Amino acid sequence: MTLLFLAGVCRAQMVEIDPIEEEPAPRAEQAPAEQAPVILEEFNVDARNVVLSAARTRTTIQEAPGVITVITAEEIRARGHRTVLDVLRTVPGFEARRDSNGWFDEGTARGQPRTVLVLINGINVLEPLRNALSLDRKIPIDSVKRIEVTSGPGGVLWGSNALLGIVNIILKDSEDLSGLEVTLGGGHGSGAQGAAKGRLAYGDQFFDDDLKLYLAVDFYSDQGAELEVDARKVLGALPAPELDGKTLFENRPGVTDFNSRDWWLSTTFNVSLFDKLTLDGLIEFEQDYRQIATGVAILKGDLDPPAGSTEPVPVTDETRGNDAIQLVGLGFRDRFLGDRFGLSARAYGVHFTLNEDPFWVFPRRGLGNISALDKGVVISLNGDVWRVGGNMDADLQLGQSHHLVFGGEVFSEIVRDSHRGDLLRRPVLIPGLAEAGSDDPGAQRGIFGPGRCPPAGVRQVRVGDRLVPVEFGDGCTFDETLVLDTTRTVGALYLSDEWKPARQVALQPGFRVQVSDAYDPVALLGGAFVWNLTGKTFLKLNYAEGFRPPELQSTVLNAETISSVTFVPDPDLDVERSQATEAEINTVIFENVGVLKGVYLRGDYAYTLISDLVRNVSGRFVNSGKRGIHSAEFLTRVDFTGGHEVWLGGHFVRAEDSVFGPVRNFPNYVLMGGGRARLFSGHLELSALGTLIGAQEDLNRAPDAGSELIPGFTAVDATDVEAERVDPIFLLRLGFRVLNLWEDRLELSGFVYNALDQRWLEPDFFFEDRVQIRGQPREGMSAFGQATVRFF
Amino acid sequence: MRLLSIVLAAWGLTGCVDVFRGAIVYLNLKSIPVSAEGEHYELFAEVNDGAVSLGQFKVLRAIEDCGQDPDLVAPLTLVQRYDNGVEGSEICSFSRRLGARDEINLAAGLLVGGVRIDSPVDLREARRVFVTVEPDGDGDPRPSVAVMGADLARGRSPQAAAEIACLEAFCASDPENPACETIPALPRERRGVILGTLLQSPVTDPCNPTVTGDVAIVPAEDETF
Repeated sequence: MTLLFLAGVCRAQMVEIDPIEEEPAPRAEQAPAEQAPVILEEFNVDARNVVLSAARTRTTIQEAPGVITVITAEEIRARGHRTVLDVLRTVPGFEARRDSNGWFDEGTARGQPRTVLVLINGINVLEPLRNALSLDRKIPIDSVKRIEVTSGPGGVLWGSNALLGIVNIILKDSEDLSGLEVTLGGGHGSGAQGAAKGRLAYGDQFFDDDLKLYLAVDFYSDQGAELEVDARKVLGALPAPELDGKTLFENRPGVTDFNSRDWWLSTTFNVSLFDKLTLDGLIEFEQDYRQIATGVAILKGDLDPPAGSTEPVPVTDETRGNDAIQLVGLGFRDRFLGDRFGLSARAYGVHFTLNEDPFWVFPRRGLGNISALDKGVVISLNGDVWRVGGNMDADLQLGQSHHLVFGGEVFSEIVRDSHRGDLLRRPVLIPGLAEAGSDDPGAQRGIFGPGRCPPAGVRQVRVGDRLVPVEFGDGCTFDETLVLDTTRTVGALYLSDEWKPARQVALQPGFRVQVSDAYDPVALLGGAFVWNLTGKTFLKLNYAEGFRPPELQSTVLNAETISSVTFVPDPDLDVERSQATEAEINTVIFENVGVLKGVYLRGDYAYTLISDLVRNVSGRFVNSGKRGIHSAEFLTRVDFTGGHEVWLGGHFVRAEDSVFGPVRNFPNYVLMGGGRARLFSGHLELSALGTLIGAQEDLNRAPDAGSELIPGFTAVDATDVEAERVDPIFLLRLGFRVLNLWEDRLELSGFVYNALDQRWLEPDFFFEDRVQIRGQPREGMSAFGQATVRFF
Repeated sequence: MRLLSIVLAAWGLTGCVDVFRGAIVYLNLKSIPVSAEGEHYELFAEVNDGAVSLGQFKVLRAIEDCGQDPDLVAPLTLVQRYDNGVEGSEICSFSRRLGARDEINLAAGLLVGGVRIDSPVDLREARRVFVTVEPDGDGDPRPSVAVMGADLARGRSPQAAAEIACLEAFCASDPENPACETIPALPRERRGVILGTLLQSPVTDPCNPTVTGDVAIVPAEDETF
């Protein structure tokens, strides 16, 4: 068996191989009629051990065909999690990363960005322009009932974007609250200054429980973190296809503090009728204001220069950005045929906004005659994206040994009115404005540029062989299409069989086919072998596939543009695929032995191969190369009587890329652990949570490696590159909760985040040396306290 | 069954070959002539006492050679990827852009000069890179005569140490020379890269070589454990 598994690991890259299917289960051991299947809906375990995502039906994490971690609302409160990313930091195999100076706060799986499918109540909420969602405060953590995290691909059941992980966020409903709940909180610290939070939630049931209602409104705001940012860069080599040129740095000390501010207002709701019809959703608005832009330019606090001075000029006050989502779902579910057949249907709509104004900035500088810097670089992005569709899932019990899960989905991803603002920094040809009688040869042809701005209005500009409309404003500003209006329609069917040939053994082969008008059909295979070795000890062997559709910005970006930063899309890009062979063993031991309530142990290993990776090569999006990932994860949790708990987890990951070898911009290991103690008859709970994040490397240009180009400024070449080491970091969280006050109506809590006030940097996501000159600074220490009152 | 398991295991293990050892190669070409008609450049690395090709390219003027509009583009000298059989204007296509020759023109706001080549070759042990001129359509994998080359070392180009050694030797014989007032220190070592200074070949005067550019290689190795 070991040899066979090893073979399966190594052949994971070969799509036609499914190790599970190579070993048919012995029919002679088929379960007799009186034996119930191992995977039972009524498996009566605590909430942390029940999972919906792994099999699209209710099962336990011990038996589910995948590497599963479940975090409940109680665990979220007890550990003081503030966001979904906080939760992911405690899940082996996952990380929480930030990029682009706070624009992205993203979860990564097995070290890889943009590989996690994020679901809210089972609905894909990844924004398809970038295949990403910033997991900041937009999802109010107090409205989360549970989060189910699957490590590894899950494309058969979940389709698009389930490349290396699935995070299914299940929001609260009326089962979680009967009455009114009010929460107020506040905090401060260099990691989150002037934080304030308010929450109002109401849940109740009416008409003999035929109507159930849950509604919550959450507000959070803070004044940002004090972050030290290297602000020496004046003009950088913009991303390809701009030629890879010299990056200009100021020679003066460049570390600058900056602060941001932001707010989120989120409404979550769930209305249930007859326990069959459900209307639920998340309506969220947000705005953040950052004093630093993606191009690492300080936007505030700059000085007006005297004539000829090299002092910087303020470009704008601050970056105003938001990537809000609004989600509404309407669902129906029921069971028929004596509970043997279940049907669930759901229609949904998700709206994403994408605004960054400005997105990319290099401030103006009075640098002699460098015309490119006369007006600086200011680029803004705006757009709206929708995903609308529906899915139908069903499960059918066939005899005692087969449980079919099948269904399909249809959805469309729609981009409208996506545009970018910019400044004209190079000559353009506007034939309609040619002045035949002019003495200026340029004017005769209709050539305009930074020194001769076109008149305001929509003008037909020649780009290559075509004329494209560009709206010009005053001062050489212009606005043009960023991503072409597009609609990508997708349809899929899947079938999975939970086949139990013997009481201790379950097999779960699965198949999915997905078609789209934007990419070639995708066929996925999966298979799991779950063996109940003894008692509550399970062995799982799992082969899983997933895929990631090309992000829309790589297929329908407007290439006919006059902006400086323009990539060349490829509408024929293939999907990126993942294939993983995984093995897990888990057990629950020492149940109710002395002071122990139980010990949960889990260890797993996976080899994952990602192929057809989409990269940006010299400004053109192409499918190029593959990446092999070895990952091992473990999780241990010890529960004691009296509610005490100790846990420890971690992961080790090593990834090799076919283009540049070992992937170094993520930590090879992360260890996390913590515990809680309940004192004074459970009225006081003390907790601690520590995370050790291993070393990383960040490819950067060394500001001091260049030579002085003009007084006060150094030009740094592409060859002045270095791999900066980001040392390991230990983050500590300490907290307390006061529980069961006023007949369980009042709960107080307080947490200190990053209690050791570690200042640290994270490498950029893409091992990119051109744009970001230093790692992304992360938050220092902060404290937050809150009180929750419930009126039953 | 046992035999079948062994056969399947052996077959499976053949899939465990995905250890990738490529490298990112950056060039800063300060003075490289425009490619002559019917010729291209080829970049080689000396690895394990042999020469391995890292890529072929042509150096072309954006306006004169690639026909770009002089009223709309700067007079750049482009570095374009070359493959045998590619002819005509296709060599100028955007998808073949590797970078540009080093160009500083403050009045025009020009600050360009990087070339990036992603190489599948393991360059951790590379000792030297060099550039040759080859005829178009050349089917001979062996390098012809090098026109420029760079000795490589980890973190710091050997040329910097050689220049200082030459200056120290010179100053030992002529300590009053103004050039000896300050002998520069070695630049600080940069981490995770292999560096070199491209010198025109052959080098006739080691103390006064013609510098034609720089090279930086980011090898495939992980030092984060």
